[in-house]
Amino acid sequence: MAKFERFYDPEVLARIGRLELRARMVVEGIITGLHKSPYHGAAVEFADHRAYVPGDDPRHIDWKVYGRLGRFVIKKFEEETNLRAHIVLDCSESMRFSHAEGMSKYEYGGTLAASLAYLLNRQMDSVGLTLFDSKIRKRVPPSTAKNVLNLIGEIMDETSPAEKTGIDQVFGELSEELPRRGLVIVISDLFAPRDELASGLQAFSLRGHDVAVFHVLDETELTFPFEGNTLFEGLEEYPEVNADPRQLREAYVSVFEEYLQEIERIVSVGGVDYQRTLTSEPLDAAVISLIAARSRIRRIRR
Amino acid sequence: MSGFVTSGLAWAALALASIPIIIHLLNRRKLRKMEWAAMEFLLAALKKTRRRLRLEHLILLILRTLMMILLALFLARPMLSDTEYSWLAGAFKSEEKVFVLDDSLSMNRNEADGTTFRKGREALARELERLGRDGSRDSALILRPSRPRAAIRGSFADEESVRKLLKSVRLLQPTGTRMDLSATIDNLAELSSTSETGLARPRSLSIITDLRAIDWTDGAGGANDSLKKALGRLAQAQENPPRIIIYDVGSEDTANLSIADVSIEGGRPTVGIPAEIHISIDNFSSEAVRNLRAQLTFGPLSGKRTTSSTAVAQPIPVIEGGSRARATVTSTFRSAGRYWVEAQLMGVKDPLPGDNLYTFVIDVVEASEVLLVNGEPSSEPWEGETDFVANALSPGAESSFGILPVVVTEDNLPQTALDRYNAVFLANTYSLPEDFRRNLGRFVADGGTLLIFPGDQADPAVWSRELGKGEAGEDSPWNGLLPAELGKAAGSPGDGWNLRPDFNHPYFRLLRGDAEPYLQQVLFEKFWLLQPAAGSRIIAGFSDPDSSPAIVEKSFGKGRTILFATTADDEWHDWPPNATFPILLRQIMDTIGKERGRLPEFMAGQPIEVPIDVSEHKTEARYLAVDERSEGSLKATPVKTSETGKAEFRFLVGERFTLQAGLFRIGLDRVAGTEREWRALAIRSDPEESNPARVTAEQIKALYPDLDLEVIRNEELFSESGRGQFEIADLLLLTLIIFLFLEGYLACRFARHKTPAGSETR
Repeated sequence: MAKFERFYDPEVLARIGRLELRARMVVEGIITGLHKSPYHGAAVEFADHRAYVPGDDPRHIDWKVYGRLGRFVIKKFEEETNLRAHIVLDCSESMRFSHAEGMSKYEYGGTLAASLAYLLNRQMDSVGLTLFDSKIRKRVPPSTAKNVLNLIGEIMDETSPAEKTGIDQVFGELSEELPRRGLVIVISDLFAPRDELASGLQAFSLRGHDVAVFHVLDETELTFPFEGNTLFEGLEEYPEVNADPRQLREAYVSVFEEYLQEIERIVSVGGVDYQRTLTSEPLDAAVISLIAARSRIRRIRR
Repeated sequence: MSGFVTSGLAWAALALASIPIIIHLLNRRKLRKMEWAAMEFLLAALKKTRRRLRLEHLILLILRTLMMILLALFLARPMLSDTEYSWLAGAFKSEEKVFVLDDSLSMNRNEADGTTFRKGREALARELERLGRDGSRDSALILRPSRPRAAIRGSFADEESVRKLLKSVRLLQPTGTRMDLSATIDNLAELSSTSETGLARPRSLSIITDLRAIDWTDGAGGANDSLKKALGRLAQAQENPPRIIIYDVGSEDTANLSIADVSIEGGRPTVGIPAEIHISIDNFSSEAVRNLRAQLTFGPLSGKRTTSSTAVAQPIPVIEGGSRARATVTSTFRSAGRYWVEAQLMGVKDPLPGDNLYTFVIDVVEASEVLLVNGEPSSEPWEGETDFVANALSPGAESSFGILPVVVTEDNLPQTALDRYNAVFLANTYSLPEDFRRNLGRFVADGGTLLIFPGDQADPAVWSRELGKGEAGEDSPWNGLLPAELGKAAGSPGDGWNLRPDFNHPYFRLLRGDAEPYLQQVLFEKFWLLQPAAGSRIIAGFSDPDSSPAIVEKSFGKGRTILFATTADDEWHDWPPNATFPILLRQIMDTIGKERGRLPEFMAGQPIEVPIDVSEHKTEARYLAVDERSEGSLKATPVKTSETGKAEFRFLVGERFTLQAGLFRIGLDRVAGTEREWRALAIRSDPEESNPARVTAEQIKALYPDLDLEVIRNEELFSESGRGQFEIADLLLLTLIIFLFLEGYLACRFARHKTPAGSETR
C-alpha cells in the first residue's frame, strides 16, 4: 500500500464502509444505489409490475399482461448481476491546481477514485481505472481481483498531471474500448470545451454505459478570493495574466457561474449523474451525495 | 508659464511626475505569482472587463501623474504672467489693481500737449476705461503720493461704478508737493487690509510718474534707501510680490529755472533801512539763460492780499547752464510788522512755472534787538561790562545801525524764549540759571548768535559744569554750545600782545588794508587760554609765543557761538575804545542772523501744527487757504498737558491745506477785543522737485535688482498690461489636495465595486 496510500485514506475508507451499511439500510443497497443495471434477460429476476407511463422503455412492456388485461404494464426486475465499473480520472495539468496547503484536484480526485474502487471491490464488483489527459495515459482493466486496488493506486501515484485535457477524443476512444457496458465514473474538473464534453459524455451514453460525473473543483475557482496584483500563470498552455483580482472578481464569478450552468445543462441532457465537489469538502459527503441522487432518480424511474 | 522661482527645482521636480509610472512598472515586476487552472474563465472575465479596467487604470494613472506634476510645480514655484494668472484667478477671486499717480510739483511741467500730469492722468483713465470695458472683476485703488491716506477706490462692476471712478480720476490735480513714494507704498498695505472688499495682495503696482532722479536715487547715484526698504517690505508682506510697472510719462527735456532760496542781508529788515534781499536762481538747463529778471512783491499781512509793493532786481545778464545765480532786490520797509513777500521770476518761458514763485513771511522791526547780559554792571559811564558793546552797536541816532541793544544783568535775565533777539552777548557772567541756558541753547540752535566775552568773574569750572555736558548730560539743549573750554587766565599787567586775525574771514574783511594799523595798536595784557572744541574755528589769535586763540567760532544748529578770549570792556585790553571794535561788531551783526530774517517755512504736503495761547486767543479761528479763495474755520484742540498742568492748544492744518505752495493764513480772534490777528504759514515746494534730472529704466533696474520691475514708456504696453508674473502656490496646493481626495475616493470605489458580496472576508 506504500505507493498509493496517499489515495487510500483509512479514515475515509472506514467512513465509506460505514456508509455502505447505512446506505444499504436507507436505500436498496449500495450497489443499487450506486448504479442501475444496464442488463436485461436471464440474469435479472422478475420482481413486480407497474403501470406504463410515457417515457418508459417499450422493451419492458409485458405483452402477456396486455394480451390478458388489455393495458400496458412494465415489468420490474431485481438485479443479481455484479457491476462492471470503470473509473475515468482526469490527470490533465489543470488537476494539479491546489490553493494554499490544500489537496490538489488530482489528489482529491485520486482519493475519490481509490475510495470508490475499494468500495466496489469489496462488493465483488469489477472495477478498473483509466487516467487521461489529452489521451489515455494509463489504464487498469476492470477486475474483481483484490490486487486491482494496488494497481489503481500505483498508476495514480506514478502519474503527475502535465498535459492538456482532450475529453472528446479520449471519451470516444474509451467508450469504444470498454468491452462491456457498465458504470463509468468520470472524475474531472471538466475544464474542457463544452461541446467536446457533451459529445464525450454522449459517446458513453450511446454505448449504453451508465455515467456518473464527479466534478472536482477547488473552492478558490468558484470564489476567486485573491487580493493584490497577481501574475496568474496559466496551466494547460494558457498564457500568463497579470491582474488585480479584486477588479476581476465580479466578472470572473459571473463567467464561472455561466460555465457551471452549462455543465449542468450538458449532464442533464446526457442523463448523467452529476455531483460537484470541492476539494475542501469531505470525500464521503461527495459519495453520499451522489448515491443519494442516484437513489432518488432510481426510485422515480421505478 | 513664464518661469519658475526655483527653476533648478523645476527639472528635479519634474522627475517626480514619473513616479506613478515607475511605481506602476515596479508593481508589474513585483507581482505575486500563482498557477491558475481556471484560466479560461479568468481570460473571459478579463475580456469582459478589459475596457472598463483600462479606463479605470488610465484615470488613476493620470490622476497620480497629475498629482506628482502638481507637487513638482508646487516645489518649483511657477510664475504665471498676468494674463495667465487673471485667467486662472478670475474664477476664484478678484484682485485689487493699484495705481500710483505722481502728483508732485515736477508733474506740473508743460509739454506740447498739456502737462505731464495730465498725460499721466489720461493714461490712467484710459486704462480704467479698458478694464471697465473688459468687465474686470477686479477693483481699483488709486493712490496719490501727496495724500497717501486719501485713496480713491472703485470697481468695474457696472457702468455706473466705472463712470464714478473715471470722474474721480479726472478731477485729480497736480500739487506742489514732493513725491514720497516710500510713504505711499508703506501705506498701501494698510489701505489694502482695511478696504471694504477685504481684498489685499495687489498683483501689480503701476506707478505713473515722470521718473525724476530725486525720487529714485539718494542723490549720489545710489538707490533711495527708504524707497528700497518700503518696496522690500511690500515684497515680503505677501506670497506673490507684486509686479511693479513704472509708466514713464516724463519729458526728456530737462530745462528748468527755479528759485532755490531767498535770503535777507542782515537778518530781519529794519524800518527805514534798505534791506537787501537775495534771490538764488538755478538754471537746470544745459544752455545759458540771459537777461533774467526777478522781482519782489510784498505787503503787510492781513486777511487777503490787498495792498502790495513791488521791487524789481537788476537783470541777471547770464546764468550758465547747470549753474546758480543771484539777483538782489533792495527794498525799504516803511513800517514795522509782519509782511508777506513773494519772489518771482519775470518774463521767462519756463516749462515748470510752479517753482518760479517763492513766498515767505518776514517780520520787519523798528530795530534789531540784541540782548546784552551784563555780568558786571556799574552806574559809572564806561565802567559797566557791556557799555562799550552797547555803544558800538548803537552809537547814536545820527548813525543808526538799526540795532537796539537790550541790557540785562544776571539777576533779571529774560524768562521767555529769546526769539526776538538777533544776538545775545554774555559779558563777564559768572553763572546762568538753567532755564536761561535752555532758552539760550534753543535760540542758537534755531539760528541765533551767541557772543561770549568772559571776564575776571568767569570760573572755568562753573562754565564747564553749566555749558558743557554738565549735569544735564548729552541731551541738554546747550551741550556743545561752547566753541572752547576755558583754561586759566594768561598774561599779566605790562604784557602787550597784538591780535592776529584771519583777514579772509568775513568778520575781519573790512579791517584789512587801511584799517589794519589801527587794529595793530590794540594791546592785550590778559586773556583766557582757550582749548578749542572739535568743529570750532579759530578766527583770530594773539601774538604771544603760543599764538593762543583769541576768537573761536563754532556752528551750533542753525546758529553759531563766538567766544572771545578776553573781556568786553577795557579791563584787560584797550580794544573797546579802538575804532576797529565797533566795526568788527557791526560786521559780525551784518553777517549773522541772515537766517533769522524769515519766519519758519513748511514743505508742501506736510500737516502743520500751530500752537496758540488760549489765554490770549479763542480756540476757533478763520482760515484762508493758499489759493486765497477757500476759507473756513479751524478749531484748536488740546494736545497735551504741560508741566504746569495747563492744557496746550494747537490748530492742526491738515495736509489737504498744504498741497500747494503759498500762504495759508489763520485769523485768530483775541479773547479780549475784536481785532483779528492774522498769522501766515509759508508753504514752499521742496527745491529738490525743481531738479529735472531723470533716471533711466536701466539705472532703476540696476539700483533695485531684487524687484520685479518694469519701466515702460509706451502707453500701449501699459494698456495691454503684461502685468508681470505671479506665483500660484496656493492654487496648486488646493488642486493637489482635491486630487488627493479624488484619487483616494476613485481608487476605493474602483476596488470596492468589484468585490462580490460575502467574499471580502475570505
